[in-house]
Amino acid sequence: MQDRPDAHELLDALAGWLAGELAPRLPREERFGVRVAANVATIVGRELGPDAPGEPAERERMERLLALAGQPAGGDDDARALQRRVADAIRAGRLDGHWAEALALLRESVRDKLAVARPGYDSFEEPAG
Amino acid sequence: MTLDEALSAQARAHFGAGARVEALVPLAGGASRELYGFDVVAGAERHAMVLRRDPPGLEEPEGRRGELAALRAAHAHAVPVATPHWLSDDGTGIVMQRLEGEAIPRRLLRDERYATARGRLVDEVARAAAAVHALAPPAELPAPADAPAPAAIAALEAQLDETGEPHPALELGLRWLRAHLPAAREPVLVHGDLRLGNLMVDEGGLVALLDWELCHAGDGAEDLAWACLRSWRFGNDERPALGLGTREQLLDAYAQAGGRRVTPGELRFWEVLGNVRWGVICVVQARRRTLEHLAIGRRACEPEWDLLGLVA
Repeated sequence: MQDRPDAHELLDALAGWLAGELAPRLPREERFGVRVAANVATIVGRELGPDAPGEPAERERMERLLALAGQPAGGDDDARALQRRVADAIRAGRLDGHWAEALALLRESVRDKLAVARPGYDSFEEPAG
Repeated sequence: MTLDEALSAQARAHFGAGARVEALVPLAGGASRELYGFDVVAGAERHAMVLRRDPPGLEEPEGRRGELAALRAAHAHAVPVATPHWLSDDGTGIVMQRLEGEAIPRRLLRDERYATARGRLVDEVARAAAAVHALAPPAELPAPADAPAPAAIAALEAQLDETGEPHPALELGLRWLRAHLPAAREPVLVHGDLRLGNLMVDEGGLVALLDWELCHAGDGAEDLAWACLRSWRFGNDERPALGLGTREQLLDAYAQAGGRRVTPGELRFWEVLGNVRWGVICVVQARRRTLEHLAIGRRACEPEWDLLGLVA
């Protein structure tokens, strides 16, 4: 167990220093790389922070998708292995008959990724057909 | 041989024994290519040039040969492009005219000086795209294995499989595409990366279509849809076409410029495909271990979100 500050606090501070203090002191053409670095620190900070979406929710969604595909999950696959099975089931057409449910579950999966990588991106939706 | 010496030798071969290279400088390129600016001085003339080349370790002479052939065909048919000059001796770079103008999307979308250009760009890009799509794909480009849509889907599936990473949302997009194939079409020359960030623009409007490295034989609707992806609207989410206009405006301008009448349904198909493609590019780029490329890997969820909206 480490002392405070927590990892996400350290990374937030690192991101703030890179973008707020270092970048303005650099020539224009060198700022881009520093902004990328700051953004990476921000993303990792969110991933390690208290509000980060967890793997159990993703496992549960993948298990529900596999159940819809008629291929119930065993007990010991991790979330990545379950995603692999879901990806294969989708490509094989095994979720074609459950389009709306599949879509809703995958939207939640993607929302959890956006919450870390690009918060707010899901406030706009492309128009449905 | 240094780059300066190599370019000098090439300049002499193309402009005569007295030609020399001056003012060679690296320029800010993109994530995928190195860019250098230089002048060729030949007698009383000075030619402003750029060299765009593959980064070390990612040389693709086949691709560059196809790109140069496409640029030459486009230039010969009055498509606004930088005048192509020659393929570098090692085959990994293309020397072309250096153009003046602005290509940074945020400035083009916000700066007052580009207000007039903003009003013209959707029409001008539609016209340029129609001119590109009137061309047959040059023989130097790989011949597609199938009609453009199924060939594009199969290529994306293969690329995704090669990464070995599961992406259920991209798979759902691919599955939707297989169920909504448009009518098979004769392949035409497609720019392949048509979007605001790949336009050279001045106060009067479009100067040139840049960055032809993804050009290929395909369906013209592909370029129109790619120009509508949300990832290059830079916050103008309600203006799909280049971040500036509506889908209808783009399709109408394209048809008026002699392009075929692309239906909203076809555009949607290629927008879904474009989002899958951008997602796959993000996944693939992250396999190059630089910070910038790794960071792009975490952007795959953006096109995933957008495509899930489009297939609802």
